[in-house]
Amino acid sequence: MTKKMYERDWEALSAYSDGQLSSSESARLESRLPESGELRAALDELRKTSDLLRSQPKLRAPRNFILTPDMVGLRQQAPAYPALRLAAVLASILFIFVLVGDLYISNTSMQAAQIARSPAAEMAVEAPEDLFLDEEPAPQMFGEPEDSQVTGGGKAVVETTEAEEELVVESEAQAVQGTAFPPTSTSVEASAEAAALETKELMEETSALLVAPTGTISEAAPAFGDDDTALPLQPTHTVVERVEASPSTLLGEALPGQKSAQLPTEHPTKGADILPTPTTQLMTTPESAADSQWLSGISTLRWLEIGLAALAIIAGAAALILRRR
Amino acid sequence: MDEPALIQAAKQGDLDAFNRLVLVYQDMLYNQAYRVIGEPATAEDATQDAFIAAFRKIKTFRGGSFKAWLLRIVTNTCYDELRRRKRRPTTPLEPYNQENEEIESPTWLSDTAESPEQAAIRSDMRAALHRCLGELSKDFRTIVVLVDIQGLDYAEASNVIGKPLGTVKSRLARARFRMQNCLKQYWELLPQSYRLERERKL
Repeated sequence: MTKKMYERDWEALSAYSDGQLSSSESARLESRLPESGELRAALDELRKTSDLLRSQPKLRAPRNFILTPDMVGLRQQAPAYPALRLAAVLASILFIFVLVGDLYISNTSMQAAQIARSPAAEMAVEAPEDLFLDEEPAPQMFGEPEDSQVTGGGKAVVETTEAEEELVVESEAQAVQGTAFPPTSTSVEASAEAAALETKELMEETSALLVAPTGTISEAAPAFGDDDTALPLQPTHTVVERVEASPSTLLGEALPGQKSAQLPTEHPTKGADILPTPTTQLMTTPESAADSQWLSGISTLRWLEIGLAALAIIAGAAALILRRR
Repeated sequence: MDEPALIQAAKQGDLDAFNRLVLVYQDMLYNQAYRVIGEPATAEDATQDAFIAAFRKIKTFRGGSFKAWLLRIVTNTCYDELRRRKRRPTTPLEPYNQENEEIESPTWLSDTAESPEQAAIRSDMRAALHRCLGELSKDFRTIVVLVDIQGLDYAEASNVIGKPLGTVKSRLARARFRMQNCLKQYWELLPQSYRLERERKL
């Protein structure tokens, strides 16, 4: 008997001892058993071993293996845990939305502010020239009244009035140009237009007032020549004061282009000591007002963001602590 | 509550229902773990781990023999433990006393209902059986324990080890052959009267 044959017989004997052979296989094996003493001996040894193994007592478990919730991760969660978790999630989502919105608004506002400030810078560069030009004639008129009288006082007065009219026309034209300025933000556009309209009205009033005293050359001409500048200059002075006082707040919200347009409306005479004050106000007030408005809007969003972030952090931390417990 | 209802409740996360199944099967699982691993403390841990794994995976139980399903889990747990022990210093199957000496006739498996002589012989036989089982490979040991000690039929054993019936049949035959060869040397050491008595019974 070869080893392979022996293993096959041993396997059949093992299954036969367990009653796991089919009827045909059992009959075939049983027919061989009486003839083969080796098979019978092997079967006896096999049964003896199996009997020894089966005679082993069943051991009892040394302890109960009952599971506890901790063993399988079924922890009792605090009732507040789901609410805190939900609050943390919602606060986080809202925070992200507000942050994105804030960034979008800030970006748009910054672009509008940049566009609005670029002509302001241009006009600010131009403004000193205007001022210089406006201020220059003043000493000529105040400093050399006798010369003008000598060379022809009437002509000088006519030139002055023409210059005034030109300046008024220019100021009106610039005010109109100011309304045509292309803003990107609708709010800025609206305020600019409104301010421009107001400025235009003011210009008209100013021009009317300026034309009124200077229109009568006979009255104005001797005034320059007689050094009695109080009477003819009085209306002009009041106009400048009005320009300085009343529109400053309105112009503060307007585009800078209109403020520079305002400058030529100042009368060259005696306006030199008044002009610097409104000029500085006009150059700084609109920016600070826009910044303060922008900052106030931003600060609200910032506070909202801080609040949401704090809520998300606190709720998340509380939920984490409850979960760990 | 019957077993299918307990299983269904456990599938819904009812830990109490599962613990009732634990009480029913804990002896069987501990026996399997102990015979396969050969060390009581590790067998306890393996049994506990097997029940934990069973609760976590109970939703994957698709019916059939719940006993075979549990035995499969504990067998895999024992295999994991044996692999872990293989990487670490191994613990011998023989128990040791407080002086760190091997106990030839372990009293921790003794049956107090027997006479001292019978108890000694039985203890010797148990120790021999324990040693021979330990000399088998884990696959042979598992199939011998399942069929000869746990009393499963071939189909159930096939379900537990996840192998076809032919594999169960051949693997069991070879495992028994090696067990027989191993036990022979101990068998001859037994008293003549005990051997004759055993042979007459057979």
